[in-house]
Amino acid sequence: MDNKDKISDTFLALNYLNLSKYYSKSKLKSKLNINMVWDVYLNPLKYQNQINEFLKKKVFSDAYFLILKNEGCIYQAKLNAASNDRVFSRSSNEFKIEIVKSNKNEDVYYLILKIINDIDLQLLNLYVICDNESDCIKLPILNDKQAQILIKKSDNFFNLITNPNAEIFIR
Amino acid sequence: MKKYTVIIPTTNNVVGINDIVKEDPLVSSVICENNNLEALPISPFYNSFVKSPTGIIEKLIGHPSFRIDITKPIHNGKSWQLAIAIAHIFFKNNILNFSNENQLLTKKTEEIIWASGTINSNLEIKKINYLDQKIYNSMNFLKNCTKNKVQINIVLSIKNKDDFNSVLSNNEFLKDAIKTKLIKVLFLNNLYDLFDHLNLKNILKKPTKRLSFFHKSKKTLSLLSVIFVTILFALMFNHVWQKTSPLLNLNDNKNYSLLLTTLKTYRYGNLTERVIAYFYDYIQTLQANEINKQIRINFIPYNDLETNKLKCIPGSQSIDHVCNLNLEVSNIGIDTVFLWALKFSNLNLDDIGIQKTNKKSDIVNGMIKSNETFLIDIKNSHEPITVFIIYSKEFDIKIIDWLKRVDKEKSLLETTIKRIKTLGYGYTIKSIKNVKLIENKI
Repeated sequence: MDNKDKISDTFLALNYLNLSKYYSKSKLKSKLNINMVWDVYLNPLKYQNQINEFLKKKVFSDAYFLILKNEGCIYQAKLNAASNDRVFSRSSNEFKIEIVKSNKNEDVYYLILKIINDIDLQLLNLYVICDNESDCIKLPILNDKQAQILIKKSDNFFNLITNPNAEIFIR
Repeated sequence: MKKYTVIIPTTNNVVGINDIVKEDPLVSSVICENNNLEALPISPFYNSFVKSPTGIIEKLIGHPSFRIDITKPIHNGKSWQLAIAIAHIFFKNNILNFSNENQLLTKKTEEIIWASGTINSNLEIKKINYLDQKIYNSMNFLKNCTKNKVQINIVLSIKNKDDFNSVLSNNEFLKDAIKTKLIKVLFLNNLYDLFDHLNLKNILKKPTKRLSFFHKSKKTLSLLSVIFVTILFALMFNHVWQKTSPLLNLNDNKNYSLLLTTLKTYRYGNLTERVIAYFYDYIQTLQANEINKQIRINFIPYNDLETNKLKCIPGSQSIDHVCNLNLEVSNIGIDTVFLWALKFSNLNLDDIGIQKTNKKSDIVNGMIKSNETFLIDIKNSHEPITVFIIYSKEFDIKIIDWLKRVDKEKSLLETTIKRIKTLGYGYTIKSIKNVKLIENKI
């Protein structure tokens, strides 16, 4: 990527973030390297091992998810109503998630993702964001529009994905 | 029951099975390494191998989803299928001994199944590649087993026999181990054969052959066909019997008028009735012919006057009018025959002005035993006459009445003949004409 492209991407990112209008150093609560946000968005494989660290920074995750939302991803909003504080099945027009307990280990669950419609996007990661917390998990190759991931109950990802207030992004 | 440890040889490692767990049917089957959270890349293939209709494990075990843990990763290939299938069947029957992460042989290990091959949906074992590499990678493990006196079963497709023999030719350890029977090599066509060899036929029974199933069905169908045809015949017979029995009853009870009426109805009735009437007539005709054949009729001319005796020599076709006639009826059969004979004039009595009311019927009846003769004297008459003789093996009193009616009314002759035929009686009608013969004298 040459400097010209970097500048272009930065302004595009600022435009998405709607920050350009108000952008001033004094207003920032924390440092935001918009170049980095944009680069992570464009090269998720390059940052695969670091992405969860980045998402811990609220400003980064806000900017990142805004880009994802606007640039193209499959998304599921917070649930309107849930009878339990944990949700093990979520469904939208675009995808369905089932979380099934493993019989081998009580701490292990299977996250079964089923994409409903054909989609042109390359789906690499599943992001979950809830109450200023976010996490990401790498998706295996989809087989017949379906993927299965083993998750641990003790992991933060499990807490977030089963939370009815969680928003889910797949990209 | 003896427990087996199943080993999956690969080109890189000798792999043991750590654990097998039945999972929720919603879950796709996964293979993991040593209880890790990450599914191995062959998991989708394992899932296809498990889940029906593509897979065989669900068909064999009856459950569609498993998690299996192995001691070392398997990244590609399908030669794990045979060992995994054996492990699943052993696991179901509680004769599988799991390996540990760092120890393939455990204290519980009694016998080893070292298996490499792919399996199709008919459970046929297919050839695998890199057998030499897999065996060389397993050499230390196999030596360890023989050292611990653990029996090893090397299970391969029969199509790998040549490959194995070429490996064996350069391997003294294997030769010795096979000679001392510490290693058994099983070349199999299908998975059922393994369980035959291990004397575990009850665990995996060969399904009844399809041909046999069709054969059984064929037998059942044949039986059903026979039953169906029998029932059909029974119904037909019942139907025919219902139509025939009234005729037989009427015949037995000698209720001839009703019998004849019924037969007449049958002749114009439906197909069954027509066929029955036809057969009834045919049988009665046979009976009548039999009686007719039993009877011989002979006309014997005679005259007591010496001058006329020469004119009345028996055997001539024409008989002089001066001759009297005797009718000789002989029974050449075995059974006794009853006979009724009516002699009547061929002239119309009304035409010649004779009152027929007072005329006495010229009817003779009698019984002819076997090989006896009955002689009827036909008195000389100058008028042409007809002799109507009826024969029967049973005496029927009604025949005289019928003959009397014929005597009174000649037009009834045809009806009476029909009646006689219907009842299966034999009959003869002889006409004796009174003719004038003109001979050329010069």
